[in-house]
Amino acid sequence: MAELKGSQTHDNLLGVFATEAQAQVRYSYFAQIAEIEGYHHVADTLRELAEAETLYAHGHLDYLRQVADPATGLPLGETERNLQAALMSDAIGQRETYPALARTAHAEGFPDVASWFETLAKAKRSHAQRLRDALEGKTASEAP
Amino acid sequence: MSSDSYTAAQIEILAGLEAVRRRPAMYVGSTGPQGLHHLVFEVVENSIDESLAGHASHIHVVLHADGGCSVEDDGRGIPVDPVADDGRPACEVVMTTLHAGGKFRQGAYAFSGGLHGVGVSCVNALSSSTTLDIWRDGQHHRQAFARGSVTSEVVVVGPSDRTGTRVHFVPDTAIFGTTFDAALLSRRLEELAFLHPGVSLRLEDQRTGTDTTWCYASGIVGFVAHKNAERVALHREPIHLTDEHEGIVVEAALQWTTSYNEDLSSFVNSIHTPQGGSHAAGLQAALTHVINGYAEERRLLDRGAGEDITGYDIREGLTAVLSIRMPDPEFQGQTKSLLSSPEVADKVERVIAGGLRAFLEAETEVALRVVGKALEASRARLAARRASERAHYQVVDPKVSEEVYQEQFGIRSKNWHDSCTWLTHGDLLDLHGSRYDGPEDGVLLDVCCGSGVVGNSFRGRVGKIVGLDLTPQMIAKARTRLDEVHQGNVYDIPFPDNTFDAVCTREVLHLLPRPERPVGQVFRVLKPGGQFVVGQILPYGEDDAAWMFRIFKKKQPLFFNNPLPEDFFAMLEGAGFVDIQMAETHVWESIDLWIDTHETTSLHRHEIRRLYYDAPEEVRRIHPFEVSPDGKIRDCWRWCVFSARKPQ
Repeated sequence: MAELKGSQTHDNLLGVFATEAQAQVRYSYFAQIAEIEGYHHVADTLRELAEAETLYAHGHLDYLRQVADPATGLPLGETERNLQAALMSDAIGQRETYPALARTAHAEGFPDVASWFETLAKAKRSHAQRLRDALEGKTASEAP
Repeated sequence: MSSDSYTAAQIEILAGLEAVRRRPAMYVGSTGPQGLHHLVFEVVENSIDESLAGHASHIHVVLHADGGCSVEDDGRGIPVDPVADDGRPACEVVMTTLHAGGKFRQGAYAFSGGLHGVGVSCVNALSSSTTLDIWRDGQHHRQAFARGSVTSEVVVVGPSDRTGTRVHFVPDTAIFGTTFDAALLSRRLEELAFLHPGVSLRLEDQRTGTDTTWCYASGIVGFVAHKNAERVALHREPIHLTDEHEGIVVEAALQWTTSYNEDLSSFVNSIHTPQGGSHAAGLQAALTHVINGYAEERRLLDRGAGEDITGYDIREGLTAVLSIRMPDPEFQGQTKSLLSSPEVADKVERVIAGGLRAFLEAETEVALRVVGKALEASRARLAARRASERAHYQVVDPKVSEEVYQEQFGIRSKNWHDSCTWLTHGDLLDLHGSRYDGPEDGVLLDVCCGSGVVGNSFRGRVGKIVGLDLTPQMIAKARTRLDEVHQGNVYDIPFPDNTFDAVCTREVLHLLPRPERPVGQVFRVLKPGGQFVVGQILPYGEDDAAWMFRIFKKKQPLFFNNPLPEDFFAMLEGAGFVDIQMAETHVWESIDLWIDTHETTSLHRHEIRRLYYDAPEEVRRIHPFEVSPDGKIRDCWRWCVFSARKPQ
């Protein structure tokens, strides 16, 4: 078998993983609007599609996790590794990504978007702490 | 129909009861308040079925001091004769068997409410004790149950010349942790009284000694008028549409008001469907098509300017009750919150569209008012979008969007104190005024003073209270409270340096891009040693902040900042303030008033409700709010009042 890491197919998997993950979120968002507008059957259809998109995204992840976490490049596998990857991505979001995005939004004259990014930087701070706790709790008491 | 035709032979047995106690939520929705009250509604709806069949006219609900509830009607009484198959009395079968009930056989009831007959047996299964009294065939019968099992056979208590049924049940405290809420039951019983003109519904709360009876002849037209009692109607009489189409009886009453909220209640066989469903979709489709068609034909729309009337615009300010009767409705979920029978939408749309079109043709004056209101809503929707867009430029030049704020708060000034309860909340105002510790003859400036209530909370503590606001309508209001009021912009406060002993403001900084600039202005106009008292609703923590951001941005397009207390401290320190302290208080408020303003679009109002309904667990852990079983939402705002001092 060919090596997946570094292949065009690996790049392609990364691309469609993002697409399907987005589709799941977009469709469940659209479903809510359909429901508010009174189109309950359309909402059901969109929710069912969103469910399927999750399945597809997870399917892409089945392959991607053999190489690395698509968000951080860290190795994936058992829960401890996965928690470390999740912690890394939330910590980056808190310390780098969102603060930088907020600065740009302020500079371009979108103070509300900037505030939204700043709000998320703090949410990420909280998530990172929860992940840290989970990681410590796991290594301390739940060894299999 | 004589009482003889409702006999044991019509009762069919389908399944057993153990499952109900094992998974109560599957049958009554939840083991919280929703499920508990559902027990009462279930029994009441059986009595309503008797009234629909023409046999009952009085329904009497009693909340007993021991935590139990009884529901009594003057219908035919549940049959007590043996069921053909196993010889048990019919009433026992009804009480102990899932899916047993007269409504399962054609003939006894044409349309029926209850939970497909799972109803009263579910109530029995989830009650620590149930006593069933039946007056029928000249005798008073009684049978007792506990947790769904028979504890005594049917006995004859004595002769009686009346008919009827009483179910007295005590909900099992091992399953339900809450007690009955009389206000909630009242709302539903009143609703039923409107839906069933002539039926008398009585709620007696023996725990508090209150006793209320509802009986209305006016039906759903009266229901709409009743809902609109506190609102200003656009037309005097609700529009009443009723017709039958292919076996479905459709009745609707519609009345538009000057409010922004839509208030649509839909019912199927008198069951409330809080989430609507295909019948409500049919009504909405009819409204959209007919009103748009009317506006189009009379060339009332300026398509060139991007005007179009959406369903949201039409429903803004609409109070409507839709009631349909149909055989075998299909619902999503056992608690029937949503009608899913797909064929209903078209039929309802046809009936409503036909009736409404004819009405609008006949009543031109009402028609023009209704279409005018929808047009106004569509223009406001466009304006709200533009306000948000235009306000972005404020960063470049603060002067540019003064008009945006003037427009927004000018319109809202009309019902300012009615637009949310916290505006005039005494304890909250006092938390501002009582923070002051400057000289008794000091001069206070209330910036963005609105109606002046916050500045006025310093009355008696300072010598003079000055107001500053941008909006002429607000300035006029503030002049009734404050000593003098000036018009001006908070980015360029029109007073010299070192003028005031104190400055106050409340719930303003979140609306201002770059809030550090107005805070810097406040610092400038304060005397050395002067005090800044500023109140703001803030998130409880990191985990509800993103959720609150979405709610506030949907409520108010001019929402620009969502600080946590730490950010607020940092902003005040950054401006040079010292001795910064924070006090907080929590104020419960229904969100209904708060989102009933022109600045919140209809879609956003719906989305805000969904954000509460679907709030993530991490939000619920730190941010208290309540959703009552009928979908009403109360939030507990975290009010933070900061005090900061300009150094000496």
